[in-house]
Order: sequence, then C-alpha cells, then structure tokens
Amino acid sequence: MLGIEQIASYLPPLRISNFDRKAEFEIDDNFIDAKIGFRAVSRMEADDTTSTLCEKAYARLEEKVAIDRNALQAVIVVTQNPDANIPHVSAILHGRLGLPEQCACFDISLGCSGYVHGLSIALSFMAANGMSRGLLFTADPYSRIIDPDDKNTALLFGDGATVTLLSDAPMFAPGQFGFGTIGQDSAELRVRDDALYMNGRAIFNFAARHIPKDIKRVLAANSREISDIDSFVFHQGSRYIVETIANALGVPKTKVSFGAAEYGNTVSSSVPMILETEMQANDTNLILVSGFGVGLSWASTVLKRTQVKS
Amino acid sequence: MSIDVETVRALIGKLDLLPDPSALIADMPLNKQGLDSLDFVNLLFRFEEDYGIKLPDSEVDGVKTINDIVTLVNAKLAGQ
Repeated sequence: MLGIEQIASYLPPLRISNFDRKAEFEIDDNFIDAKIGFRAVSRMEADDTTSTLCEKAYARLEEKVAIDRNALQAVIVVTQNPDANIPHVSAILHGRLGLPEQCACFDISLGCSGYVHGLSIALSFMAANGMSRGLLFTADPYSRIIDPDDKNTALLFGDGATVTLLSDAPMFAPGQFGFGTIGQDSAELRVRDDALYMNGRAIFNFAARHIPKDIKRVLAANSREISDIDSFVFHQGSRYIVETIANALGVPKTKVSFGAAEYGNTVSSSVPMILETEMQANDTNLILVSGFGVGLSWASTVLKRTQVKS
Repeated sequence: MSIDVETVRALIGKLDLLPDPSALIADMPLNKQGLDSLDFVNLLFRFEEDYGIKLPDSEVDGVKTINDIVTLVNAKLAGQ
C-alpha cells in the first residue's frame, strides 16, 4: 500500500501584518481576525524562487525522517509559478538534490486543489510503475503575481512550500477521491496583465455551492459519515470560507482546523501545511482533505491512518 | 413568488450575520448597519441558492440596502 509517510513545510520568516494596512483598505480588527482570518501573510526572500522554497521544505523533511536520496523514484511539483517556463521545477530540484538518473520528474499545473489532485496522480503513477518512494512538492509563491494595492488578494496570499514523502510505509493512505471543475468560471481567478485577478464573490459562491456537495459525495464513496471523520482539513482560503463550508456540512468546530492565521493562504501548500500537524495526533484516524480554487476546480479524499506514529 | 423586507431580515437572522435583524432600516446601506462585504456576499448567495436565481455582478454592483435586495430578487423571480 502506498500513501503519506511524512510531510514537512517551509514558511519564510518575513511577514506583512494585515493590521498595518487597516486604514489603507478600510478594514477593522474584527474583519481581519474573524472574517479573512489572516493576521499576516508570509513573504519569501528576494532571492528565493519556487525551487529554493521547495529545497528548504526538503531540508525540513530530512530533519524529520532519514531519506536515502538514491532510493527516490519520483519527484512531482505542484505549482503555477515555476522558476521559468522551461525547465520544470522538479527537474531543477532533481539536479540540486543530486537524485538518481532513474528518478521520474514532472510538474502539475494546479492551484489550491493541487495537493489533493497531486496525491492521486503521484500515488497512481507510482503504483502503475512499481515505485515505492517519491516526493510530492507544493510551492506557489503568489507574492510574485500579487498587486500589493489589490485588497482582494494582497491580504490573503502567503508564500510557502511543502514536501510529502510518499512511500510503501505510509502513516496515512487515501481512499476514494472526488474531483471537479467549473471551467466556464475559470476567468474569475486568473493572471491578467501579469497580476493576479480574483473575483472574490465568484470564488465564494463557487466554494459555498460546490464543495459541501463534493465532500458529501466523497464521504459516501468512502462509506463514511461526517461523524466518522476525526479532522476536516479544508483549503485555507479564508476563515470565512472554511467556516461556511463547515457550517453547511454541520461539522463541529472542534473538528475543523484553521491554522493559517499567521501566514495566509499558501495555495497548494495550504492543505499539507495543516495536514502535517493533524496527522501527528495518534487518536486521529480519519482525515478529510479538500482543496479548491483555480480552475475553478476541487479535489477531496478521506485519509485513513495505517500506522501509529512512533 | 416574491420576497419582502421581512424575508431579508429573516435570512440575515437565520445566517446569524447581525445580532438584531428586526432593527435593520430597509433604506439604509447594510454596510452602514454593520454588515461587512463578506456577509453581504454570503447573503446574496443564499438568495441565489434558496430561490434558484442568478444575481450577476453587473446587477449587484449598485445593491446596498434591504430594499435594493428586495427589488433585485423580485425582478429575477418575476423573470423566471
């Protein structure tokens, strides 16, 4: 059985406080804390790139678990902000980490739904090719494309990266997945004139309309009820959307994590950053993960514990 | 089918967006009465879902008050 053995995250130390921008954007403390939920957003260093963020996440992973780099058979990076159009970030990482020639490398172009999509793609690819150890990275430093004067995006998005060690000795393994796309609304979240444009109302409506239904379908596909799930890890788009989805499903607040208050919405990294913490509790056996955003797309699954953390 | 001011107040109460919906003034902008932009988006979304209507951005831009919402939603319901 293949699944998630370990996750490591990297958040750059630089923060921009949203409280410092209250007058500029005509917002108050309650709006920051109770509504968008992000007290600050993380920003990478000037000389950082998507690949260096991934490298730093990988360094954290090696601090947590011993890895034989020569045994790695796949490196997959989820990003829509690569270092350059060519080559793919995973190939850059392959070179920097000194990985073996027989290691497959490719990138996946997805945003906030990318991690959950990536889990399915990576594990399927590894299973189909008899692989037992691979890395799934996420890194989408939106600071490169955000207009700092745009209230709709500047207060929300933070930079960061994660890496997930996928192996045949997993701590958690996924069940059935659910996927979806509303392509006719894809223009509501896109890069326009080299800057990120987001129609906040359209994105809220998309998430509130589709994600609760998708989660119910995924639970049914896994023969689970909401009450069976120990922890719900939703994409950290904002506190408001996380709570809206939780309320629509009737999920107790104690089972829903909002952990991004001090760094913001890290796009495809938001789910694994929360998951990294949630999977450490030995009494957490079933975790529902759901990512949604650019596309407009979504992906969800139920992760089941396969072994107790040592 | 149509809605009125009380319908809007009731939905604001049901969604727990403001503490005393009955005190809301129908012709005063809701943002002047404590409803922030995210709650306003949520309120319009619930009307779309509950009544099976679409409220395009172009028609929502000028909507500020409970009376504005009543007029817009009823126009959409009449057009169904």
